[in-house]
Amino acid sequence: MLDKSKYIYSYRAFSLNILSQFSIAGFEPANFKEADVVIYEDDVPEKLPDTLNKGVLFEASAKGFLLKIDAVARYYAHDGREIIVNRTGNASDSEISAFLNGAILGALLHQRRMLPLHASTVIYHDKGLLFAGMSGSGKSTLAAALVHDEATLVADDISVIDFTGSSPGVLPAFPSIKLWEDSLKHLNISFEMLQPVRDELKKFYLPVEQFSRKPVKIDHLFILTSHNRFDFEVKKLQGVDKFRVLKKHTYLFRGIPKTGLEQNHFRLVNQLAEQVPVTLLTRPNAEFDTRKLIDAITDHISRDQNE
Amino acid sequence: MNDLNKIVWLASYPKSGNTWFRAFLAALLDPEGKVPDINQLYLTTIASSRQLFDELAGVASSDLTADEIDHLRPMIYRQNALESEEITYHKIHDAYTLLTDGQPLIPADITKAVLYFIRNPFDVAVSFAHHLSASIDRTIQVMNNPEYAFCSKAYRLHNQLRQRLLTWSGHVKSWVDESGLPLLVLRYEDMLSDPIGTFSKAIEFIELEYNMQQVQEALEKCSFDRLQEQEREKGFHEKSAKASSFFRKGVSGDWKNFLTNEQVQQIVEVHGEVMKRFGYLND
Repeated sequence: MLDKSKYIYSYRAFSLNILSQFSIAGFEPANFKEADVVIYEDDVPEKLPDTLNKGVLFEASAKGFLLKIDAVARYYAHDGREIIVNRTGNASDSEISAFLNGAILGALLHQRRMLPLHASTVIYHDKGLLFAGMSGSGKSTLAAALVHDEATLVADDISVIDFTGSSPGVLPAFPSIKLWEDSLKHLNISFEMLQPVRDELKKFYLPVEQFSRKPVKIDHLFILTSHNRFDFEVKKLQGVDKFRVLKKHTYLFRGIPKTGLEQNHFRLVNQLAEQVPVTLLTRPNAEFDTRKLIDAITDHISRDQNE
Repeated sequence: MNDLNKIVWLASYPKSGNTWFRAFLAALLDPEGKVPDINQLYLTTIASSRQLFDELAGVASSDLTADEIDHLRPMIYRQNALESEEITYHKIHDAYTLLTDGQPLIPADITKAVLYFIRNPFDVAVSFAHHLSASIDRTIQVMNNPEYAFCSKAYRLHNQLRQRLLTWSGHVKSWVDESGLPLLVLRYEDMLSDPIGTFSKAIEFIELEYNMQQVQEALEKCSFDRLQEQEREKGFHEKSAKASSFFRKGVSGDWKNFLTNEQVQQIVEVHGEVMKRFGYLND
């Protein structure tokens, strides 16, 4: 039986009730009776006995995922139920959070047979808009700019697909967006009072008030990318291209092969590709006005409605 | 050679013929003998690719500091070699440097060979200024600055990892003298004046078996004019946004039309010794 007195923090994210022994930066506190996931500190082995898939900083088995960040902690997520953290020295809770709320959470979501995409999601003018993209593609900056323009945040960086409704949606994550100093400046947001994601990074948690606590149906799924021209390009994808890009933008895709999670992942990506329109959205990679990107999106949505 | 000696590094200071060689290699290795698409040179992905790092690490590099990333890079390349069944090629603009714990950024145990491309720094200054869309004076400062690095601003996320370039001559010496890796120097000027001889020597060094006719055919598919034409027609995603083109002139000696005596002097002062060594300066 879980001794709840040792777990003073409780959060809700991705429709999961999470109990934790330490605070997790950016997460939203919640009250609940039954926990889906527990996070606690204990010893974590340096290696897994049954590794099936390995990268430089991780090992994955059929049920477990080990992440090793030497200066911060060793993490072990297993069975989609528990995350064990073995802290290095006196690494702070915020340092621990930086990787917990990243690869390790991604691994846990895969273990639960969920589909996390590397994407941010908002509700803008009553439409659910998901923006998937590689690191640096600008999805968080765009989400923040839209929130500034009265959009409601659903998820930043990791968007978990909800397949329970009649068409795919996104589960609410947590009410904050991770932004680099230059993006904050671009959006005229002062970062002096914001909490950094890690002590040595100029990347900050921007708390967001307009946050959806309910799943949101995806009306448009955009793949955000950039080119060295100064124009914006919008192109609808069809058929196998949709599947290919959604697979590529799966959060922590590298952790899936050989672990037995492949088939389920394939099925979910396929289902998503069949049910939502996917649009490639390309922006200039040089400095540009976010307003123009929003205009390109709005244009596309209204044209799509009139078709 | 052990089982992991799988990576061939195409190393150079920027604007020294690296991309030309990559296009040539793509043409040579294409099983159907197609003309290489300059926007699909994935065979020779740059070593500082953020995507390559993130995928092989399993953690987003955007959550790591530049120094933490540097310390992991040797392991990333080792993982890359472990997972490759064949020889892997990587373009690299980083200088060959030692990390703070003394280990080299580029490990010897996974390196098959290095092709090091060098070009007269007078011409580099002109071409690099165009690439950076900076003045020639500013570019010479960059080439003379031992601290210079690409993608080094901490307040933003760059699309590539930080790359330390050192000075122009520091870059040359780091690879040619200090790396101790099996390395062949290729002068851009020789690639222009004797393409078949120079490119053949390069592929022989990395143990690719192709005859002279195949080399010639591959060279024809990626002549400078044809690369330039492709860029005009479809653009080139490796071009920086501010520069008007990536493939500018592709000649040697163009510096005479651009550099002032003073600028020549500034380059000679810092790089004279290495210039002499590689035939770019007469006594």
